[in-house]
Amino acid sequence: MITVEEIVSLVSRELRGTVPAGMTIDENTRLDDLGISSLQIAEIVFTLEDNHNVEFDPARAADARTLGDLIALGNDVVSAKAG
Amino acid sequence: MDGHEHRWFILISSVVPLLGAVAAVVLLWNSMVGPSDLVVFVVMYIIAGLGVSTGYHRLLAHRSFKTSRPLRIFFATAGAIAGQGPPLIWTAHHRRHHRVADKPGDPHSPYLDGPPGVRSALRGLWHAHLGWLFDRELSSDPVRYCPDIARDKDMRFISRYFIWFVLAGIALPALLGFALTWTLAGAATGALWGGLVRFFVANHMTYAVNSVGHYFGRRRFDTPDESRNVAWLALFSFGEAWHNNHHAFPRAASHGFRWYEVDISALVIRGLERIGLVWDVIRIDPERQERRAESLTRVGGGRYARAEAPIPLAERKTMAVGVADVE
Repeated sequence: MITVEEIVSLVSRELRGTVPAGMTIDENTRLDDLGISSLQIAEIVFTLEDNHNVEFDPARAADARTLGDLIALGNDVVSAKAG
Repeated sequence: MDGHEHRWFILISSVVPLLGAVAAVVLLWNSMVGPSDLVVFVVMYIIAGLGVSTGYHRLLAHRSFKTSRPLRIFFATAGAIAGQGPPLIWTAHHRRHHRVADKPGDPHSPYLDGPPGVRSALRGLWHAHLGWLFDRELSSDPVRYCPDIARDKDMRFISRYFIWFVLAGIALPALLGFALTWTLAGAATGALWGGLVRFFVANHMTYAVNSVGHYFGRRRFDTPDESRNVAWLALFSFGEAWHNNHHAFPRAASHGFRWYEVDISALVIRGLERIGLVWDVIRIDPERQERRAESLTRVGGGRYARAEAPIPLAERKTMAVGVADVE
């Protein structure tokens, strides 16, 4: 399963440690608030796919607003694959 | 790269080559340009031009043909060397351009809202040429427009480390200049001509397809946009300037539809196909072209013509090749 820790570590890698001051990153963090580009979001989404060897529904991935949305749609396909 | 870096990249990559071109003119005046510089310029121009035309545009954005992983990496690398942006961003913008060409939402249409007149026209042309790249609000989401490219690890790698590829586009001609002359001065003028001047000339050639190619030229197909075939741009844009043909059949590997419509990129694809390095090349036979031309004429074209925006790739049930001639 995709965990919050995994996605947070991917986000930190993109941010290269420069997390906006006073910000804690968790499921409720909005992608817009992170100040990362669409290219970086693509990097995160498709790295998750590779790590778990699944394919997300790209339309839903494009509509994701928070990190929690990404985790949820990722885990949908991960559990579908396991089941 | 993040959005901030991308904006700086666009700014620097627009200003520095301009200064390079000015420096080149000064050197030329004082006859500081030799045959080695010309060779380096031509070699780099061909690499970057084919990288954008055959690689970014026909292979990645429109999937006009298939090829092996090494050749895909080669073409995408050559495209990155051109310095027009990471493959993921370039492809996303371009597919969006085709979905809503010359209509609201098109990232680089020369037709802006504004009072009719020369001023509006010039503003529109500038926007389509280069101005759109400075729009902070503009972004085309790669997850939505090109999940197929983003799934490709190699393309993500090139997008991530894109700046290094651009810098290689300056280092490479310097090395070439050095190899040809065995002097440091040769390396320096090589970097100038094969790097900066080449960025300037090659990129404005591409940008001209976006600006001029939607404004001045002939329309064979009444496509629901303002795309034009621009003969005088065809040779040096490697065939990209047969832009009206391209909007009529976006997935066609050849943008030149007649024997006299020079399309170097198509010749390269055909050559590679002949030696078995590329396959599944998409061709449109003349009959189909004619039928399309007739039916488009019946409906009427131009930017006010009704057209349903095709569904973005991400939202399609199947991502199989040949679904529709849209992206």
